[in-house]
Amino acid sequence: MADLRLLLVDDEPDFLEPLCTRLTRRRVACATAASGEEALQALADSRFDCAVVDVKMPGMDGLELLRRIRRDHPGTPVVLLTGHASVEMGVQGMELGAFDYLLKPVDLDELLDVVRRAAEQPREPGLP
Amino acid sequence: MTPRPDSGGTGGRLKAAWQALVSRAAQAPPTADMARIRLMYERFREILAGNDATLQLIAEIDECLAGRAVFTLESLVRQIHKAEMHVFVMVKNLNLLSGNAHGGLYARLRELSAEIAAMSPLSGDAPEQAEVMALEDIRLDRALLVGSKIARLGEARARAGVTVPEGFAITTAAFSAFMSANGLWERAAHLEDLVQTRGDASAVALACQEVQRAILGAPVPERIVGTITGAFDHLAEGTDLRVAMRSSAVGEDTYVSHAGQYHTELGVRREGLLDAYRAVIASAYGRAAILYRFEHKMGTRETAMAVGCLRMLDPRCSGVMFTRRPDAPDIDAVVVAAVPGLASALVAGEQDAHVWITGDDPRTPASTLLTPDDLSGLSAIARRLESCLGGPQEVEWAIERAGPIVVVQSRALIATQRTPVQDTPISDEPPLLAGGLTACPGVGAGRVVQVAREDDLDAFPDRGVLVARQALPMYSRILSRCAAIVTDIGSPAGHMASLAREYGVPALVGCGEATSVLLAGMPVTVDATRAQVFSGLLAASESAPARPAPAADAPAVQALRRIARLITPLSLTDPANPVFRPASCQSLHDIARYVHEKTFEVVFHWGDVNWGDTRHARRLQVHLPLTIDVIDVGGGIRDAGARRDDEPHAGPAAGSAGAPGIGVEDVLSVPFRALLSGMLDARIRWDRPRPLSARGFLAVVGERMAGLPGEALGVGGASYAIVSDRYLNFSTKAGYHFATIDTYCGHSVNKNYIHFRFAGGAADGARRERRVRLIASVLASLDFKVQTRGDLLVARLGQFDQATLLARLEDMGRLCMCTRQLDMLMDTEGSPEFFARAFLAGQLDRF
Repeated sequence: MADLRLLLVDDEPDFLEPLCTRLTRRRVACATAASGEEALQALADSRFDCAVVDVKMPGMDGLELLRRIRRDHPGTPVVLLTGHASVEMGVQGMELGAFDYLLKPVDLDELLDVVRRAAEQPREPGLP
Repeated sequence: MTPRPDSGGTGGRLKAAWQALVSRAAQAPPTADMARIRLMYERFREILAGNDATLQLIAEIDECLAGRAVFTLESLVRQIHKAEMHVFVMVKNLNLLSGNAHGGLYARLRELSAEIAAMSPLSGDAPEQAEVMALEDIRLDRALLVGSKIARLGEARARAGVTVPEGFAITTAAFSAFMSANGLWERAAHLEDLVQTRGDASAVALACQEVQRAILGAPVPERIVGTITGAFDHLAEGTDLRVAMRSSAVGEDTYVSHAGQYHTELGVRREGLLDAYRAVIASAYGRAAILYRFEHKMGTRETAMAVGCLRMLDPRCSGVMFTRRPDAPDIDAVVVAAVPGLASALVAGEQDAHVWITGDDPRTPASTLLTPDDLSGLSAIARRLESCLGGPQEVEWAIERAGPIVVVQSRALIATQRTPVQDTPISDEPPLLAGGLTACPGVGAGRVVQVAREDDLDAFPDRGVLVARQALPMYSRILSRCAAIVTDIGSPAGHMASLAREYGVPALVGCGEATSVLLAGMPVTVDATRAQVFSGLLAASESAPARPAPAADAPAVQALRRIARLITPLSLTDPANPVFRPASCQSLHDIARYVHEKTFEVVFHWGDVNWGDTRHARRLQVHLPLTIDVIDVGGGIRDAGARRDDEPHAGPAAGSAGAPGIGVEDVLSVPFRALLSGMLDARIRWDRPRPLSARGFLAVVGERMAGLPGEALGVGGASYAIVSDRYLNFSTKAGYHFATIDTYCGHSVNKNYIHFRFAGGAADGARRERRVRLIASVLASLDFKVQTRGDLLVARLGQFDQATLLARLEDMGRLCMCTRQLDMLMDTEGSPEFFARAFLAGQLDRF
C-alpha cells in the first residue's frame, strides 16, 4: 500500500515519467500534471500529501502555481524543483512558502526525505 | 570424489541471502523522524559543501583579478552564477535547519544578486533593439548594438565632420536572433570551453570549422532578411549598388585592435547579401580570432558581431594613416601609406606602399599618388579624428576620383614607448640582412622558423623568430611567444604591424629577401629598430618596447572588478561583534561566512533537539560512564538487523531506545571509532579508586563528589552520536558539562575539520573557568584555534589529512574522559597548566 500521495507537476514528460515510475517502485503513489492548470484541477479533485512543482513551465509558471496552492489548498505543501536555477526565483519561492527548493537533477532519496517531511508537517512550511 | 562439506559455497550464499532478507525485513519504511534527521544532516552537509564551493570560486575570481588566471567573460559569468546559487542553497538550508531564524538573509541575498545582475555586462539580451540602423543615426554610444567600428564611424561622421561611406549596420540584436534561431550559441560555448581547457590545436581548428560551417549553412530568420534587403534598397535608390560588408564586433577596435581578425566582403550585390553576412559572422569563429579573443579575455557573447554595410568605393588611391608616428606619439607628425585603387591588399600585408611622413622629420617618396593638397587634407582629418575619438588613430581612407577624402575606418593607434636608439650597432659583424621597415622597434633573438602556411604556426616554438613571405594577421595567435618577426613584404601600416606593436614583438617588414637568407633553424638576432638582422643569439642586447597591458583594459577585467566588490571581500569577521548580522553582509562571501557560523551554532545544539520517535537510534553497548545513542545517517554503523539474532550486546535492557543495541565493533564511522578508541584508553582509570597517595585530601573529596559511573549516568541524560561513514556529531551532557564535537574526516584535506564546543559545568564559576583553561591549553597544543568567553570554549581545527584528524579525535576522547570530573580536582590557579602538561605527556593516570 502506498504511504504517500504525490502530485508531480512538470511540462517535460521526459522528466516526469521516469521520476513517476521510480517513485511508484518506492511505494509512493504519483499523479502527474503537465501544467499549472492541470495541477489545480487535480488538486480540486483529490487530496495529495505534497506537490512537487517544476518552476519553469509555459503558461502558469511554478511560482504562480505555488501562490495559488498556498491560497486555495494551504494544507498541501509544495516542493519546488528546477533545472534553471536563479537566486531571484529561489528566494521568491521560499518567501512564498515553498517547503523546499531543490535543484535538478535531484537525488531520489533526498526527494523522498523532503516530501515525507513535508507531508508530515504541512502547516509549518520551512521547518525541517 | 566425496563432495566437500559445503561451508563457503551454497551454504554461504544461502546465509547471505537470508541475511539480506532479514535485513530488508528489519528496514521498516523510514519514519518521518528518520527522514527528518537524515534531511537535517543532508542540509547541513549541503551548507558545508556550498561553503567550500563558494570559497573556491572566490579564490578563482581573486586569481583572475590578480592577473594570474586566464578567463573569458562568459566563463566568469557562469562562475558568478554558480557562487550565487551555492550561497542561496546555504541560506535556504540554514533557514530550514533553524526554523527561519535567519530569514533576513533572503532579502540581503536578493539585493546583492540584483546588484550583480545590473552590473553584469551580459545582463539582458537587448530584446527590443533595432536589427538594422542607418549610419547617420549612429553615435559612439551605440557601440554595444552596432559594434565599435561602425559606432566610431558614425561618431566621426556626426562630430568630426568627415566624409564616410553611406550605409547601415546589421546590429548585434540581429546577430543574437540569428544565433538563437539556429541553436548556435551552444556550439560557440562548446568552442570556448575547448579553448579554455587548452584543447590541442587540431581539435580547436576542427571545432572552429564546424561552428563556421554551421553558421554558413544556417538560414537567416525571415524577419531579418526583410529588414536587411529593405535597408539595402533604401540605400540603392534603384541603382546597381554594391556594398562592402565589414565586421564590427563589440569591443573590436577599442581596447584591443582585433586588427584583421575578421572577414570583409567587398562588392556585394543585393542577391549576395545573406551569404556575405554569414561569411562575415562566421569569421568571428575563425581559429585566429577565437584565440586572439581568448588572449584578451573576451568571450564569444561579448564579441557579438554586428556587420557594417557600406557603399562600395571606387577610389583612385587609398591607404592607411597614422595620426601620430607609432614610435613617437608625442611628436606632431602624420604617417600616410598609400596604394593605387583599393587598399585591401595593403592592410592585409600583402602589398608594399608608398609612405609619407609629415612634421619635423618629413619623408616624401617619389610618388605622384598623393598631391600636397591630399596630404594636408589628410593631416587636417587626422587632428579632427583625434579630438573627436580621443587619442592617436589608425585610419583607413580612400580618395574617389574628383571626390573628397573618405574615412572608411578609424581605430585607436597602439603606439609604443620610444626606445632610445643606441649609438653603436648591437654587433660588429656584418649583418645577414639589412633594410626593410620597422613595424615594431626593439631587438629579439631566437631560432628562425619559416612560416608558409597556417599549419606551420601549430608547432611554433617559444622564442622563435618568425620569418615569412607576407605580414599576415593570422600570426597573432603565436605573437605572445614570438621573439621577433621578419617578412619579405608588408607595411608598417598593415594589421600585422599593429598586432606586433600591441604584443611588443620587434618586427621588420618589407625586407625583400628574408625568406631566402634567414633559413629555418638559424640562430639570429633581429634589431628591428635599425632594420638589421645578425647571425647568432646576441641575447644580452635583447630589448623590446614595453608591452602595453591590454588585459588591464579588457572589458572583462573592468566588469570583473566592479562585480567582484559584491562577491569576494569579507567584512564579517568577528561573530561576537554586534554587526555580525544579515543586514551587514556586503558580499556573497559575507553571507557565506554568516551562514557557516550560524550553522555550527545549530549543529552544536543537535544534542538538545527532541528527536521524537527514536526507534532508529541504536544504544551503544560500551564500558564507559556515558549512555550513547547512535543515529546513523549513512554508512556510520553496520547494517541494522544483520546481527540481530547473534547480537551479544542486544537485550531488553540495551534496547531502551527501541532498536537493538550495537557494540563498538559495529561502529563504521571513522571519526566515531577514533573518538571511542580515545575514550576507551586503558590508562584512564575512571572506574577504579585512585591511590590516596597520588591525590591528597581534596582529590578524595572531589572523587567522592564525582561519584561512581552509575551516578554519572543519571546526569544530563544520554549522549548522542549522529554518524555517517566519515561524519560525527557527538554531543554529551553526561557529567557536568555540555560538549559537542562536530567533525568530518574524509580524503579531501580541504573538507576535513573538527569543531568543538564546550560549555557549562556543575562546579562553581572559578573551577569551571579553570577547566576551560585546561582544555584550551591542551587543544591549542594540538593545533586547534581556540576561543574562550567565560566558561564557553569553541575550538576549530581544519584542513588536515584524515590520519591527523583521527589522532586528534583520539586525544579528544581521552581528554573527554580525563576532564569529566576535573573541576573537582583543580583547586589552585596553577592546576590547569599542571594537568595540561600531564595530559600531553601521556600521564593519564594522574586524572
